[in-house]
Amino acid sequence: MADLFFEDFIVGEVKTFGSYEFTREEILAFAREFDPQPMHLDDTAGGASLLGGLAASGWHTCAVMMRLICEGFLERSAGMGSPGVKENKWKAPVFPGDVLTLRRTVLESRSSKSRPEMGLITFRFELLKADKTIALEAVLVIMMGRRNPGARLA
Amino acid sequence: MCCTSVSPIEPGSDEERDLIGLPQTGVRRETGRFVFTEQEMLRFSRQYDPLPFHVDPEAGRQSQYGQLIGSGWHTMAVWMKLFVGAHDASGFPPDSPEAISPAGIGFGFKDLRWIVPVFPGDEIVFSTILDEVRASANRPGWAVFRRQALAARPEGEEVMHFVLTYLGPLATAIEYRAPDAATARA
Repeated sequence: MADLFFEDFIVGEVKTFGSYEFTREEILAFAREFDPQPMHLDDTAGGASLLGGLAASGWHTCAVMMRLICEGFLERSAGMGSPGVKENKWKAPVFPGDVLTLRRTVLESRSSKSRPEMGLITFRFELLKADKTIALEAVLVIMMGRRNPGARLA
Repeated sequence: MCCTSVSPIEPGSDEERDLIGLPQTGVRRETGRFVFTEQEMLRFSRQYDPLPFHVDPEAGRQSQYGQLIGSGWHTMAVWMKLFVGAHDASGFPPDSPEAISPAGIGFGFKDLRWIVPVFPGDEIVFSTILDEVRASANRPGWAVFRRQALAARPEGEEVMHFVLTYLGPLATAIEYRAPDAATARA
């Protein structure tokens, strides 16, 4: 059962969640299926590319961000899906062996008049490497069920 | 006798476009169609987006969607799969930028909308419209591309839309290919 609702996300709050290791095997498997450019599949090509080494597809990094969001809090929340992503920036390549953690900032919280059972929360998510380099930054809106549907917010 | 009499060409100008033959903007190009099987949707969601309505058909039925729905990130990944597949780097040396990164290096995307869900068995049509392309000032043969990424049902209903920006080799831009070739390939 959900124990996190719309009301529990406070604007300005910053939290860090989980960790995920990008293995070479998974980088290759994802790239073979969804982004089969040699720079994501082969050490020599990766080294010769602008990425400077075999690196994960940016779409793979996005998928792992979602996994960390799910494990970090969304699975135990009243999340009702997402209408979209405002912005996503790939800021640094992710290499085999990199371990990424998720940093979440609550940017905005908005209740819905037409749908009193839910609200919209805007988050900034960042994936941080061990040395705190930001690999990915995304601003994402998530629909969240309310603990007290329709109640006026303070 | 040299270049002193030639006026400099302004980056991004029509003159530059004519000179280096930048790809045509504003035309929608289909990159391929893809049928999302329940099995593939579940495999992706279990690994990357394990929310109940993505991984459990019963939970999907009880959700506001009425049935299992695919992860929006899966739809995006398939857009990329077909976009990469629409590039042709044959004829370039294996160690050339065109061969190792035909679809380029992404800066990011914006204004992503998951408009309606994808359900098991749905066939989705993927396409792209090049909005802007500017030759790179310091990397000859490369350009910064800004393009719309689109996914729709065969009858036309929009499923997903986003705007992607990346640095890529000019020579492999899919707009240089005959439209039917890019479509037939996927």
